Amino acid sequence: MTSVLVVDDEPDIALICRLALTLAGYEVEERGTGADALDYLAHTTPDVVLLDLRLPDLSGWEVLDRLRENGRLDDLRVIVFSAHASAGRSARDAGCFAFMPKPFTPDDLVAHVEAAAAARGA
Amino acid sequence: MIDAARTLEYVQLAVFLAVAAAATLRWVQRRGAIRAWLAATLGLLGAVVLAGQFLPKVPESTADRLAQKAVICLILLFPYFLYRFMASFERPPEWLERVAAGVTLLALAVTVAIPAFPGPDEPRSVGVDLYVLLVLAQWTFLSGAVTVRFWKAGHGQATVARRRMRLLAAGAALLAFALVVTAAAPSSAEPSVASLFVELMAIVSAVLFLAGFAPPPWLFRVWRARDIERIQGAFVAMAGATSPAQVVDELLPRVVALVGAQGAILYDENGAVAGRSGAAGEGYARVPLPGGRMELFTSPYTPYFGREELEVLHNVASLVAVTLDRTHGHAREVAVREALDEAQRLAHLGSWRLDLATGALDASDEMYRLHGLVPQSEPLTRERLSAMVHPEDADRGRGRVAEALQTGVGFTNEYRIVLPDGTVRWIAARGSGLMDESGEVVALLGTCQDVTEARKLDRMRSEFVANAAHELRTPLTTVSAMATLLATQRDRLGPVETANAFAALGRQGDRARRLVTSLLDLSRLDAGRVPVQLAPTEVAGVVARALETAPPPAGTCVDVDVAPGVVAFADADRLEEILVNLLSNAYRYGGSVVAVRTAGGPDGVTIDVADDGAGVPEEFAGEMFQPFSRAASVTGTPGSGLGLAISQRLAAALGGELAYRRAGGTTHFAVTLRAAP
Repeated sequence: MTSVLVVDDEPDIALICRLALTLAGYEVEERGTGADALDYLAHTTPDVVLLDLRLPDLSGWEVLDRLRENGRLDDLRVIVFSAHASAGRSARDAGCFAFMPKPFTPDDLVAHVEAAAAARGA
Repeated sequence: MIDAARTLEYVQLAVFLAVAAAATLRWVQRRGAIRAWLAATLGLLGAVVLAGQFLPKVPESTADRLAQKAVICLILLFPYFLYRFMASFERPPEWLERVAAGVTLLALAVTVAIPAFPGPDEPRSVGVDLYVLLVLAQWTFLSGAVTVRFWKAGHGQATVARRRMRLLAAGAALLAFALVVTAAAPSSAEPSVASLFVELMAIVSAVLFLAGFAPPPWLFRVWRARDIERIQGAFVAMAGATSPAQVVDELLPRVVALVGAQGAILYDENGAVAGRSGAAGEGYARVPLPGGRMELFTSPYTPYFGREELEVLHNVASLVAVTLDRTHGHAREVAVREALDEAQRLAHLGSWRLDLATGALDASDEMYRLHGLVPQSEPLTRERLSAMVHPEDADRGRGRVAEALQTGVGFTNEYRIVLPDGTVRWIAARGSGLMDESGEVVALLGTCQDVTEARKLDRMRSEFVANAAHELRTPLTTVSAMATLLATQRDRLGPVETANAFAALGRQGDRARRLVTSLLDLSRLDAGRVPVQLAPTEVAGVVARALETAPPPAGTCVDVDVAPGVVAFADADRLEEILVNLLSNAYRYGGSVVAVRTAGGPDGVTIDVADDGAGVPEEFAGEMFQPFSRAASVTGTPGSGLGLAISQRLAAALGGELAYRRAGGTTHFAVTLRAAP
């Protein structure tokens, strides 16, 4: 079963991700802060990571920087999502697999995750 | 010798009669005490000389002797009349008046009392010698007084007045001298050189009197030659005068001196005083000017102005008026330039002109100030300005400027400059070419404006919109995604998941609604369109209602100490909104204890909401009342960043203020309101 880590401090955004992805057959794990997400990723390698850029402790960029520094980023397919559409280009530059602007539909979400999972499998 | 004496006698007679006639004519024409006394004095002199022609040298009959006494009385009256003439310019001190009148009366009395005068060949008695001495004393004293006072009066006067006074003084002195010589000379029937000399002096003195009193025009011109030269010098100097005050200060005193006035006042066309010089006096002359008028005050020794004076005055005054007009024009120009500079300063807009032939850059003061330089402290060059442009913006607009240089077409450009002190400013430059007749671009004209503030406002506005959109995206994402999910896959969700989904839908819908309400409130407040109804409002009641609307969460206790009877002049509903917001913030960011205190007095009412939280981070304190500003440390706590912004604007709408302070480990937000009237 393909595993997905959702990192977002908004419980309702996390909820919608969980519901949509679970229904699509993914195994979903949730973390609300950058630190918790890094802790989790230190010992687990999900197939896809959904990362919000605005987190209470670290920004999404900082999380990406840490992952690149400890070499974990190469093993991960990270999809960044943000309300700031302008963040898209920077996200790909930062080594992300995809950028997904808010608001998104459940279908968008599932399609992005599927693409990322498929890329990883390839 | 006898022939010469006879001739001189006739000349003397003619001259005395002529000056007497001239003086009388002047008096008839213009009247006045001074002219009357001069006419009387010179008339007396004429009468005496005329009578001398018909009286025998040695009186034979009683009638002869009576006539002789009468003539002698007239002769004694002459110096007194002369004295009165002098006194009518300016009244002499009382003692002088008394002595003059006394000595004259005494001499007249003795003359009447003396039984008979000895003939020229008869020996003189001691009594007669004493009498001659008395007469000489009277003559000498009065003539001396006249001479000295006229001479002194001329001191410090204008050239014309001074010369006139000195002429009168010389005339009086000559007369006195002539008499003394006559009396001192040994009596003889034969005319001597001395007696001829005396008669000559008498003629000269009479002429001097008339000339001193009514100088002929040619004499005026001679006297004024130096003053006019000075006036002309002043006009040359005036060519460089830049203010009306300078003209008035330089010229008016000279004009006053020229005509021998005491002072002058220059009025403009509205009758306002444009300038004054000297002191106000008794009489005055009024000279109309092209743009106003001049009033001249006369001194006692320049009792009137003749045609000559008025002509000179008019000419000089017209020149003053022309010069004044020019300086007014100059002053207007300066005023316009100052107004322009002030306008440029207010608009932060400098203007410049680049001469392409010389490369010279002519820049307004504001151009210097915009670039952090002291106005006109150095020649501003294109290179100097280019060097200040921010390196990243150096190439901006270069092509457009080049095109303007070629074709004269207008250009605009916005770029940053770095001031000598390191400050960065945004400059909006505009310009266009100035072409000569052949279509060649000869200069660039333009402006530079400091648009840093506008840029900042622009950025704030875009940030506001971006922030508002961002805040709306989260609830909208949830609502739309959740609705889609519930619509398409509800049958696949379990009961708990369905309930969670609906709860999230409600929560986020509510969040979006609150956000939109806040945004509307904010925009209304900024536009001043929030209705407030100010009325005496009991603070305790409003605090109680706010606590009902925003009760403390579990684990937080609110310590309320509100004195009853504190009444503010406020709008109860708006005040409640503010307090609810402050309480919510205190619950969210504070510790477990929140305190509400009020203080009321005639100066105002303060409601203080305090919490024991960490307070607002120092670096954030400056912008906490800006919409969507949220300190980095609170990103984990819900909130849109609009609450304080709205509360602060609401407090202002109530005529009060909302202030933050941190004291003794406690965070205070205090609303200050007006006390109820």
